[in-house]
Amino acid sequence: MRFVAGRIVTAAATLLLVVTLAFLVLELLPGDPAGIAEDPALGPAEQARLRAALGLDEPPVRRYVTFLTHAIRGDFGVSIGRHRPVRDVLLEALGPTVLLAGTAMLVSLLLGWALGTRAAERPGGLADRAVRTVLPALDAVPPFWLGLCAILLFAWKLGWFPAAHMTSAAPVSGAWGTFVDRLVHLVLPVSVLALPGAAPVARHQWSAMRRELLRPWVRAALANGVSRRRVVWRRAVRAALLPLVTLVGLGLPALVGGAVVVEVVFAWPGLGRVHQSALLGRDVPLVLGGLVIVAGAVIAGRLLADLVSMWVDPRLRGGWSGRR
Amino acid sequence: MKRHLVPLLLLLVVILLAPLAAPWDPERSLDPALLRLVPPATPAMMLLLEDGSVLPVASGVAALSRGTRPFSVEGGDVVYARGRRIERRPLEDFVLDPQGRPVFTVRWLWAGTDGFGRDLLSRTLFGLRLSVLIALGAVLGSSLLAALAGLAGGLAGRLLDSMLAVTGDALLSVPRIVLVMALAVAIRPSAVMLAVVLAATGWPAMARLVRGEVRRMRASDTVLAARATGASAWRVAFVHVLPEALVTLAIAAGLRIAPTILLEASLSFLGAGVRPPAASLGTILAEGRELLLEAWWVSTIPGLVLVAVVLAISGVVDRFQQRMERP
Repeated sequence: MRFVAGRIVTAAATLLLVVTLAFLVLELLPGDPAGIAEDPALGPAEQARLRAALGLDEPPVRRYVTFLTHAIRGDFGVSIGRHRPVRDVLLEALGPTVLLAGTAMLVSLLLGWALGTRAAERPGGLADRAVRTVLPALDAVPPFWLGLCAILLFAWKLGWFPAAHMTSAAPVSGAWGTFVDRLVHLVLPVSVLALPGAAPVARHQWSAMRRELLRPWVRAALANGVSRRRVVWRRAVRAALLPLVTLVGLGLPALVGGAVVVEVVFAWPGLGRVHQSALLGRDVPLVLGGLVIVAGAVIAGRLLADLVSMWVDPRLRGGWSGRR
Repeated sequence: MKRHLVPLLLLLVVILLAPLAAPWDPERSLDPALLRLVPPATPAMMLLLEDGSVLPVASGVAALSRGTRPFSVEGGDVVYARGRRIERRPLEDFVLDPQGRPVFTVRWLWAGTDGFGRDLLSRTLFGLRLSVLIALGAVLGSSLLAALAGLAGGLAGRLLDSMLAVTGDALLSVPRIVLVMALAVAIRPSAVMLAVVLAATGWPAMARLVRGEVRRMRASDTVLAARATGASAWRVAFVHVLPEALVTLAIAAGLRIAPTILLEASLSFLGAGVRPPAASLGTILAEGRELLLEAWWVSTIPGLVLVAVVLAISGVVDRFQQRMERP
């Protein structure tokens, strides 16, 4: 269990660094955080009293500790633009983001895995060409522009999928109706996120499978009469699967970054959209809270990916049980 | 010939010559009413003014091939239509031909115009220049930081090494878009600030590579020999160790250029990057988003240019990587 504890400590340290950074941003802000200094109507005595009330007259270290203890409790103050606690706004937005990014991650993983395997199985085939040309090309397209093109083509010209939002304006009936409604709204944003995201997965799976298929055991299995399909899809795939988990963990920040942009394009009510509107409105508590929440989610996701790969492959554990 | 270099060279020419190649001022409206949202490949008839500027009076193939002049001279004034309104302006403002009539010219607006009537081709050229310059500045800056951090981590003590590692891990695990958006609240980003912020947040991955190379070199006979002949620690670091890591660093930096261009575009699109009136490709795309139904070209043309540039750069970098990694 020591390796788990080590990982958790590292993750906590990382999060602490992010919170510290958020505090530094707050300190960097021009003027007084409360905007007191700019108000000419207040006399010096009044100002001093307000500062004391807000805790602004305390030394920076003290303020940092206060900020930290509040952040740990998830308390980032009240949003300036929305007049609600930052925590409530962010918690509300967290669900949609997890839904979007999680679905996109699954789709890109499955798609990249299948295409990469197929491309290695049959060089020069359709999947091979897709892995070599189409996916890298999609990776070169900015996500927001891909989103705009998708909206223009599939939502407005063809009318297949809704152009924006997570739910229809018209009420839908029943659990099944809600599910279908969500699904239909998910198609375009998830595709925009997942297709480019599948590129590195496919490339990785392709090269791993190529290496695996050259191993002597493959030839032995084929000579034994195991069908080629079975060798590729049942046996070699399993051997090449593990690095994908690591890859997902490493790609998580980029995925969430992409989700932020895609949310803005598709008016998805998630963290990305909250973050952007907070940025445009200079809603400082909300921006800092958003930074910490997003960072926390990504760090937790990476931790999970690490733990899963350690659980699957004891060699990665290090310390006690792993490495000779 | 090295054909894969052609797109990149073209790009360099465009970037260097953008001020000359752009037909119009990217930040000035040609005409907010008549030439608003003109589609690509539209001719516009313009009268030449004495002060060197032009006055558009008609646009579109249909309007220009009608045969009738869209302006007339009446009693010392030039009369022309400005949308539905009829306007007049004294004749002495205009460049006149020997017969005393105003001189006109027909200019093609190959990429159309945006919502303010600004020439989209010029805007795209200047936007491209700004995007690429920001990305290059950011990548250069972060390479420099990565070289220093890698050297320090690989050669200095363990404390510094692990501090750098933790900081780098933290930067790597926060989505850069979100981080820069948060920073953009504190510092109003200009093009230069954006490059600085991107450089400051982009070094960890490369620093890790450099550190690996440095570690490898530290145990090598070269360094041992240099130490034995009495070279100082600084000399060992910068003369014997760093050059070995440069190829790795150069490849990594080259690979980062295209993603950095995309990142900058995303940030400008979200409003955390270059702000109007300055425009990078991302800013133009953000403006085009509002006009997607009315005017597809405002977002499509800079988008296509962006994709082409990213592909051109990746192509060259891939070649470079293949060549350098093959012994």
